[in-house]
Amino acid sequence: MDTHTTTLQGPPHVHHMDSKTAYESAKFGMWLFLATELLLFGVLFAAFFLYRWKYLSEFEHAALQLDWKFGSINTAVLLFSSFTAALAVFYAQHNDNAKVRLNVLITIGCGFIFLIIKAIEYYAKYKHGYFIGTEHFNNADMIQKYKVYFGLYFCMTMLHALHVVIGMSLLFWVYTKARVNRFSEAYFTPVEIAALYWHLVDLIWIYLFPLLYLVK
Amino acid sequence: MGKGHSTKLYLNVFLILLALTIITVVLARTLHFSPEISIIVALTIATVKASFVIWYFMHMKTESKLLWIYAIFPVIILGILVGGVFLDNPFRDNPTPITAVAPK
Repeated sequence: MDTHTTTLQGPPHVHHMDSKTAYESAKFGMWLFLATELLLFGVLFAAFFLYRWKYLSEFEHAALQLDWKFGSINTAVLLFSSFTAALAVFYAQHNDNAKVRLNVLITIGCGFIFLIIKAIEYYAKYKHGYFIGTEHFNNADMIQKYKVYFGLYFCMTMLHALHVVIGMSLLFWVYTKARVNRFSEAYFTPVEIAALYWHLVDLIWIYLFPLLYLVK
Repeated sequence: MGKGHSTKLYLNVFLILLALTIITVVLARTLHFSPEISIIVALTIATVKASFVIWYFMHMKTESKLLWIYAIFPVIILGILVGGVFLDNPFRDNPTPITAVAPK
């Protein structure tokens, strides 16, 4: 995968060393940030494991209220968006700004589809009274059966959805740069950084989906 | 060189990820594991998927050792956290049942 460095044998680039150092530091900084993100979600996953272990029958009951078909479609959508995000980086490394724009737009589009499906799901749950604080939820039966599970469900998926929105904004910023053909094999840091963030969003969903929708 | 090969690699990784997703869903919908086994199966497949994303899409395959250390470090911390929680809790009393205390 070192094609971009090995093919860099044209006229010597004045800023070559600088931009390489800048590129490495930016990427390093992003990975540090991703490490903190992992811990942020990790705490919620720890809470999920603990409460599932403590209140297993409530969890089994509540998890049946989620529709696995919505979750599966959303998983496929996010996996595909990760694929196009990786392609965007690849085309930036190969001086093809038009294809960077195309792939970034597809990725953002997938983000929208994901959020729309999530909103449909949220609305159904809200109408059934599974949302903490709604009037219906306050009846005793609801609290007993669904409180812990849906508290964690909304906390984790909403925090994840927030990350989707931030990732889409980052990708849009990349798009505006690609519009003025900013990227080349010598400079593609923003595409790579935004794609790394987007892959993290995908990674978290890879764990959220089976735990929330499938595990019984 | 590189160009066609690499996009094809990404496509293959995507297809593998999709296949693993279908396997997860089919396993969970058809086989009725015990609660412990089902969570282990789900986490194992999810970890395989995550490894593909990290290895190929996030380019970990070609990253430096330093980056590897920084990527693995939080996983170890997370392991300590989850391990600590589960070392502590089994030695406590049974959980109080969720009692229905409606506000107001």
